Amino acid sequence: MNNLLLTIFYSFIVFLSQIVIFYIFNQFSKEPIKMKKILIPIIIIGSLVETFLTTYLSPVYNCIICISYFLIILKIFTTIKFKDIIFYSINIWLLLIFLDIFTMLIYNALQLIFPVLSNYVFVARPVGTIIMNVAAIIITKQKIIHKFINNTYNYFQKIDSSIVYILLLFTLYYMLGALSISHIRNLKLLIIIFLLAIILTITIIKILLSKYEIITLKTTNQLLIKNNEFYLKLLDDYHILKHNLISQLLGIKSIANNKAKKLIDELIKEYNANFQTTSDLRDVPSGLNGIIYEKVYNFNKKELNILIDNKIASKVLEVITPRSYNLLCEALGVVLDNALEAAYKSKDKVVYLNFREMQENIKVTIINTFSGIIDLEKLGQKNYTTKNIGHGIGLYSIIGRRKIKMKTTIKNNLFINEILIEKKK
Amino acid sequence: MIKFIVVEDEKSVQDIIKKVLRKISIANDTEIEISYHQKYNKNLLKDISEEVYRKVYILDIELEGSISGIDIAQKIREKDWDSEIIFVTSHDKMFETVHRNVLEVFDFIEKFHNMESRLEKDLQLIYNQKFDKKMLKIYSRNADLEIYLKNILYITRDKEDRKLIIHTKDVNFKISSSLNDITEKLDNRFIRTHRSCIANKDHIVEYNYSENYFQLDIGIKVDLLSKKYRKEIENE
Repeated sequence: MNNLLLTIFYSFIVFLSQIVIFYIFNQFSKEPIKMKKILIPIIIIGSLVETFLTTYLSPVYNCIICISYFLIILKIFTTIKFKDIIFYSINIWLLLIFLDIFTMLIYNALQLIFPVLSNYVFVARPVGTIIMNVAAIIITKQKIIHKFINNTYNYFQKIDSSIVYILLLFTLYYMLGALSISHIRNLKLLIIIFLLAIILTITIIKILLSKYEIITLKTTNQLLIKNNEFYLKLLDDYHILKHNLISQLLGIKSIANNKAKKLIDELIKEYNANFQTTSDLRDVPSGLNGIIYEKVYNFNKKELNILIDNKIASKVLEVITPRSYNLLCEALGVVLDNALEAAYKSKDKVVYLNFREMQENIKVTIINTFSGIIDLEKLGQKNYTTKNIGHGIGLYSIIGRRKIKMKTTIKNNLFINEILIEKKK
Repeated sequence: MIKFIVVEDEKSVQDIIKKVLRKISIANDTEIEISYHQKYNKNLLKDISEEVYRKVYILDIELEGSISGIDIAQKIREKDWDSEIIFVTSHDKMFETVHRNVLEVFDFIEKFHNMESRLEKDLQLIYNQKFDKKMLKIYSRNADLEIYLKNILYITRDKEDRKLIIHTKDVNFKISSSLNDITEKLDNRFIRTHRSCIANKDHIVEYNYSENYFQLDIGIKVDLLSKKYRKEIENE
């Protein structure tokens, strides 16, 4: 009976600890946990299983099962990427291990001062766990911790996903290796071969994919350059046509009556308004004006205030690699789509594009006005969009890629997107 | 004290600006410092970097050399969003609308069309307005948010997803925080009107405790006024 009560008590403590882990995860990632009603019974079952494992299994097995359990549960009950779940889990574990060691040191010190405490180990463990959890919650709320998490997150994003998964597998393998059980030791060779096979397969697939990608990119780039030349020619034709048309209209104006003169003035004003945007496109770095023309053209008649400010003297394709160029086009396309759509719905309807060549990067700044409501935490997440159309997949697919950095700042009613793309070395 | 930084290469325009500044300084009985530049140079860069309580830039757009007034404004905004910028120019409306928003330009004044009276009117407005550039800054993983406190109308707690909604005139923002946490980032112009609402009293024109609402200067009624906070509100 006593044992049963003790097991229930331990399970309750484990349950609290698991709730704390989910709380810390939520604080670190700012990611809401879905389906909370289903999660609570799962945590209760999980707590009972963990208590059972702690009693009957070795700590290493227990640890491996716990890691897998949390990773799976977090993947099911949140919407973030598995790689990010691993990142936040590592941080949570580091924090808890630190607190565990700290609590143990204090307990051992107290035992030295009050030897009678050795008779109450069964009470000390749950009490220690509760103190540890409270300390974890307090530490989690500290701004410095959030700053640290955000900074390390940016570094973590640079590591390739496959490397992260392999490291995770190695950690699990190392933990298995820590067991001194003979049949596990015999498995070592098989596990090494298995892991090496995975690494080799991933590497070969990656090399093949990148080769295929380079070929596709070269074809796409040639097509883009052709399209670009076509657009520039179109633009020239349009300018000549506009110039001739206005000259003819002015000619007619000199012999027209007042009503016709008024109409001619309005027509000239309209042609000049369209000319403003299209002539700005001449200033865009060569290689990007095609994509901007395509996007902007559809909004020309919708009275948007678009201004393009280019400070790049050379051709974009001469300063960045084809792969970076492709990434830049992709990012610019997505951000520009969002910016134009959001600006169109706003009061001032402003879109401003700025291109700059920095020492190591090409920097594109897209600023637009917007209206409505924005969820700060959900920006850049899958299925979240600020423009009420589409599904927000575009921006989500770009964030976190190598060689491209994106920064979003919202300043009052302005949405500021900065795209930084690495230059050729 | 206000420091005026004038970047203008035409002597006649510089004289008009000088005259207006002197007039404004006497009218408001305020000490002013004026720094003149003809183009972008090291001294101007020093003026931009210098930390002065209040600065007003009067910039010509078309300047000698490759750096225009817009480029100078961009350089100013890289470091300083608090100072006011006035452009002396002759550009089209679209150009103005974009830069008014993007660079927070106070005004665009046409050089040869009532320049003196317009500049005087603008500077008087700058003198009269509260120098209030305090900001609420919130940093999240994917985006940073910066809003002038004066632009915030009220903040409510959304019951559904337990997030806060910051209401401004044209846009609203949802953030993960609590009313208690956000209060620490605000100043004393913000008051608690309800257990799930903090409001900017500078924007409130009426408190109606019998019908539990307060009215904002933009005409909106917010049904989040509780008698519980009446004493605190009236003491403020």
